[in-house]
Amino acid sequence: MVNLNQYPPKNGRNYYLALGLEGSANKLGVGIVKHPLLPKHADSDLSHHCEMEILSNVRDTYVTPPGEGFLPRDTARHHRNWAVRLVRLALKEAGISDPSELDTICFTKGPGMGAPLHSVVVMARTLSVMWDVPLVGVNHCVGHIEMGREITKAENPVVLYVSGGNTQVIAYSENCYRIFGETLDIAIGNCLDRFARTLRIPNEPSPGYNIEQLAYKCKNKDCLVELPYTVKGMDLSMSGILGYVDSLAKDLFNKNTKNKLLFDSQTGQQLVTVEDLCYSLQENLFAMLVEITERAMAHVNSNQVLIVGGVGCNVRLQEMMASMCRDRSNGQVHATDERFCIDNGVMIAQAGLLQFRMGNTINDLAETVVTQKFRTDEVYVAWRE
Amino acid sequence: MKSVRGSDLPYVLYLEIPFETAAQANTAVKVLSPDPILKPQDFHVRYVADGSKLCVDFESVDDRVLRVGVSSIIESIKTVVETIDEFS
Amino acid sequence: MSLPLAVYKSPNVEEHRFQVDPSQDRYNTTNGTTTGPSAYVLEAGQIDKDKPSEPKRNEKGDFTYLSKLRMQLTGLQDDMNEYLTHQMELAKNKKLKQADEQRIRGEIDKLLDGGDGDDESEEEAKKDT
Repeated sequence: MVNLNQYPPKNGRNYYLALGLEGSANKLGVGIVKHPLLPKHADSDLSHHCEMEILSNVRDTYVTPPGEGFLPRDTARHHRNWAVRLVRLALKEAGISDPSELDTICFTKGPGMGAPLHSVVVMARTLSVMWDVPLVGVNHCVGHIEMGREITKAENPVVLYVSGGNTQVIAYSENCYRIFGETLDIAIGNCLDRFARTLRIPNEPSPGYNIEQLAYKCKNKDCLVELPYTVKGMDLSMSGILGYVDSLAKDLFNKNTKNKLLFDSQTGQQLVTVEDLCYSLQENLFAMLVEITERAMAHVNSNQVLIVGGVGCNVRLQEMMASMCRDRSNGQVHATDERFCIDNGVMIAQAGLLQFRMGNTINDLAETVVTQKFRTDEVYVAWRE
Repeated sequence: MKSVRGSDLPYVLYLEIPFETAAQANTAVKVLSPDPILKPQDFHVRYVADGSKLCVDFESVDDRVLRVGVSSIIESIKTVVETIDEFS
Repeated sequence: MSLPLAVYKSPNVEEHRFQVDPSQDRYNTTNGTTTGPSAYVLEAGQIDKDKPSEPKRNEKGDFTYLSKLRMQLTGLQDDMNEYLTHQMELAKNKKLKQADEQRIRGEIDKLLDGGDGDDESEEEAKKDT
């Protein structure tokens, strides 16, 4: 059993307040959460029943023109220039007039892009020194997991974490989020984003969302374009699929009638559309995810799946996963909506506040150096049994 | 201005930023100091609070590395200035 | 108010001082010229929606001390970036000029060494460099 109340809130209050700052990729998120101080948390395993209240959740996304990705320098510039304004907005929305009331300021320590992470931590350190509020460094993946757990209340699910920067299958065991399977090369969100760039579709609201919409419009769902299927045991690889589907798209745009998959060998008529490619790519990638997730579920004897991360917004992925779960002794898939799937500050505040309540605060600013690589299994999950 | 230490990093720049109070200058030093330099053999930076002044000494192997390092650190200093301005 | 300043020294430059002139526009904006979006993104058609925030004003409507400092620092940063870029150009041109002079010296030396231009294979080899 775990005692989440061992470090009481400030000023004899009966609730905790945490500010969360997220900026590991192109989304800058600021969130403020409140946890009531409840007797049930003194000796239990209820870190997914915090009765968390969201006082504010603001976010600004750095969007690049179609065909372009976001690079560290400009992403860091975006975060630097918006950080103070977003924090001011979040405090206003939360009705906090005296920020020194905060119990903790939580920031993403990693993993992610170096320069953007750094631009956020400079502000976090300044706020901490000015308001005399302790800092907590949070692992981005753990942020997603704890947010998913609190919102969905899923009981010890296998977690599928899928985003632009990460693809991991995770299961909890003995104070550790163990990685059961992961990508051997690129993340699934990265694969979809790069294909979106090849197609030159808009990056607003996100490239993955626009691929999902194109896939819906596919009229040939019965004729899947055959793509490489690259599951490797518990892991998967996607760079080969991306290379191949990119070459198909280029042949399509260049009207390369020699490609018999895309054009009829006799009439030269186009057989496959961009929508068909999007649909087939999703079906292929998602089937691979379902397979490695199922493998992990078999290992830990679970029938629950929690999908977190930006790609978790994808309805088709949720459908395919739900179908597999149902076939496994009527299991369930849990997912959150785009407010929480997509990177946000609230998830950092949630995970950070759990760390804070277990005494894991930073004593020296030297511990606040951000890091591009930070494995999910490096975190000691003190707040769970 | 401090003298150049040796000649292994002979491209130097001294930057002086007058804050309103010593507390602000000290905050800046605390906030900027933790970050390690990627290539310490090419670039070196030192932060000191002298009353309400933030004094920064840069030393570099050439103009290009100096320019990149100085500009990047000024971006961080501007963040500190803006944050103090907004929230104190 | 005190103004930010910078002093530069190098093997080629005895001392160069950077000073802020608060009457000039470049020290009265938070949006620097050398700290905008990257060239590749502008070329792809990006409209910059992520400029630095406007300087803060107090209740009387004047700029706060720190917002003035931020603007002055922005101008100073532009000065330094432009100056150092210029220094880099000078160094590059000096290097190219030196390389050129070395090549010409080499060719003169070869001729003075008794080569009278009849050695065709030597001439061919020089053309390839």
